Amino acid sequence: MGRRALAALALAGALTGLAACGGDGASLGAGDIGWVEEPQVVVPETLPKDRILTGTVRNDAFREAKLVARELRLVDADGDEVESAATFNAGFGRSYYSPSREPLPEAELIRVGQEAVLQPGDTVPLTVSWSTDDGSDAPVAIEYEAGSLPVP
Amino acid sequence: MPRGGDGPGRRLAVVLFATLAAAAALPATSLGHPERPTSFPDPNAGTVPKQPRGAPDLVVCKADSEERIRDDLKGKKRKRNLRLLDRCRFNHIQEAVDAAGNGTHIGLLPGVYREVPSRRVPEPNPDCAGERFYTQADGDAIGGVNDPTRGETANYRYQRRCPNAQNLIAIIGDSDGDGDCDDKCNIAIEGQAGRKDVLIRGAGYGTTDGAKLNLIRADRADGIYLANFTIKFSDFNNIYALETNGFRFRNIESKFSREYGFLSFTSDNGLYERLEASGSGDSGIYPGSGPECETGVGLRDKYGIEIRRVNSHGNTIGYSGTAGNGIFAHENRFHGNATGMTTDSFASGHPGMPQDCARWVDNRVYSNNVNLFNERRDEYCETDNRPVEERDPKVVCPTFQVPVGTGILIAGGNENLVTGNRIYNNWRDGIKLFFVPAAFRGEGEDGIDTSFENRFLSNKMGIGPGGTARPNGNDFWWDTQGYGNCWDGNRAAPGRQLTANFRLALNDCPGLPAGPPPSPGNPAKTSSQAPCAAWDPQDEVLQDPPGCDWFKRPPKP
Repeated sequence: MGRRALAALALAGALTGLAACGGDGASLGAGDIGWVEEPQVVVPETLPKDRILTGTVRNDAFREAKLVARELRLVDADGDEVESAATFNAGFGRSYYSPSREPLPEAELIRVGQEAVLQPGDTVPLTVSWSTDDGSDAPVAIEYEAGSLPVP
Repeated sequence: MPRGGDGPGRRLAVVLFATLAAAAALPATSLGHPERPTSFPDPNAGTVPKQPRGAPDLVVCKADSEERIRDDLKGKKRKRNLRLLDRCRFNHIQEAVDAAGNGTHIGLLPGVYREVPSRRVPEPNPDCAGERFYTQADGDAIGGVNDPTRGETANYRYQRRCPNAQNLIAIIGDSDGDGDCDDKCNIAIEGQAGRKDVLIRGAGYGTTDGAKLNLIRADRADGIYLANFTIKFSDFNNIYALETNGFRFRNIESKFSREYGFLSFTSDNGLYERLEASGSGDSGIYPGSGPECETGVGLRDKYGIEIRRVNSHGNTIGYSGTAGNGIFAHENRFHGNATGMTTDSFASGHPGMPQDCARWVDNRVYSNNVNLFNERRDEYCETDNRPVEERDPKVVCPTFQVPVGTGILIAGGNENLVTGNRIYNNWRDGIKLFFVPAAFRGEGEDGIDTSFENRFLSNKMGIGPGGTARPNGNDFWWDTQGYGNCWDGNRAAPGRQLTANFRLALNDCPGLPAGPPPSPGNPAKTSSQAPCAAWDPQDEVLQDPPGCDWFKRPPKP
């Protein structure tokens, strides 16, 4: 979620979807995408002013959803953006494409967790991190175009 | 897995590290893309080439070689080079390679080899347009990075028919495309003086006129022997061995490459020895997709690639190897990099995933604290500020994110042995071990599938030359995922204790057996590495992602 971030969630389907179709129960969130269970927030040992939120999200709509990590917006209670980083991963990995060459192919963006394409009921890990040291208020939500995910 | 398990022939695999189709004449639509699908050489064949004896068969020189010989050489070396000068018939190394047959020994006399005819060959080369193909054509074999709108890459025939489109000097050894070397095999290219007297010089990076991805490409060139020269300024690899059974890089200095100094991939029976590698945006040496270990044989036969007496410094990483299997690295120095050594399981489709079976012994891994991720370097390397072509090629721009201040990093590796090394003055961690999610290998998540049975034995931690204390910031870091990992017999400096971010005493060898459920890892530790995946040197925020501590050099301990 760098400064290039504009929108939040791009839904691949053109039609208006119906929410809460998939999964084993209602997920946490206002929209088609929700937390499977409440995410955890960790304070990294070496960066005590930073926060790392980890959890798993599920597509509860009847249509495919495409999520773009750097287009998610972490916001405070006033709706102001909190600078952050996001990845659809639970751990570290990287692309084998050099970052100063041309844009990554779509499949590679998905493989390395910069994007996620979720069929109805699919889940994917999501890690979002931010700093509390830049004067921002505490974040309360991760916004996307059609809804938001609560930040505990 | 035994190396001989699949019998003779090549096992289909794929090369998936990034390459670039860009060079001088490349249109703006050129894209990073996978390398062509490749196969491991026959595990039952091949040997490490021997040093050639006697005078070279073909001699290459430059207009000023005589002057250099008379000015710079003395004694027998001077006499020998002057004698060889009389036999010089080539001014470009590629010309000699073109004239060579199997077993030809090519001698290089002192001079600077720019290989101008090769630089003039366009990339992509219209003469070989029919040989390029979309990787999508190979379907799932490519491992999930196919994109027919972007993934155009060159097949083997392209390299054979247009060898200098992507390569300054190309030794392409398979004449009939059956996968086996039958032409240009067992070629030796050897400087005839000191390694500093012969310089092979690329044009630079990106779309710089004459720039090439690879300066020397040995492709199905079994038995290639390269020695005694200096090489610099490739857009990807200064020296590259691919699908080659038997290779030897000896007494070569690689300086400045946009990505790699020395790189081998899906190759076997290799020896890196007496090399110096510096100034690489990724790694000084990269033994990637190494051969599977053979079981039940002697030590030297077990490991297909040996690395010894290498001095790798001033790179983002001194040594790295995705799927760096079957590597025996000993008596090397990795120092003054951001991270000294890594091996990992990051890639889908890299043959040999997940990584396993490296043996690192008696290496010195020290002072890897160079921060190439600082704000000033970030600003310099951001392509919006300065196109790649306008960079000073001697300024290293990192192309791989690593934790600054780390001696050894194993990311998602299994059954590696790290023993008897001297690891000191790395201000973050001496040795770091963590898991890599299976999704990175294109596999379904099944909980835990890497970080098994790595052994860290009898290493000297934080002990500098002469036995002085040169502490690491922390000796051992582990996210506690996996089973069978163990730390035993390691030693700290006199009067000091080993340090770790886990209870070291509980993990003596042989380690937790495979029987009980493996440890899922400490979520606080595993998740602490995830934000670093968001690193993007072209984005002001993601150059230093919140929650990731890798890009700040830790204070001196």
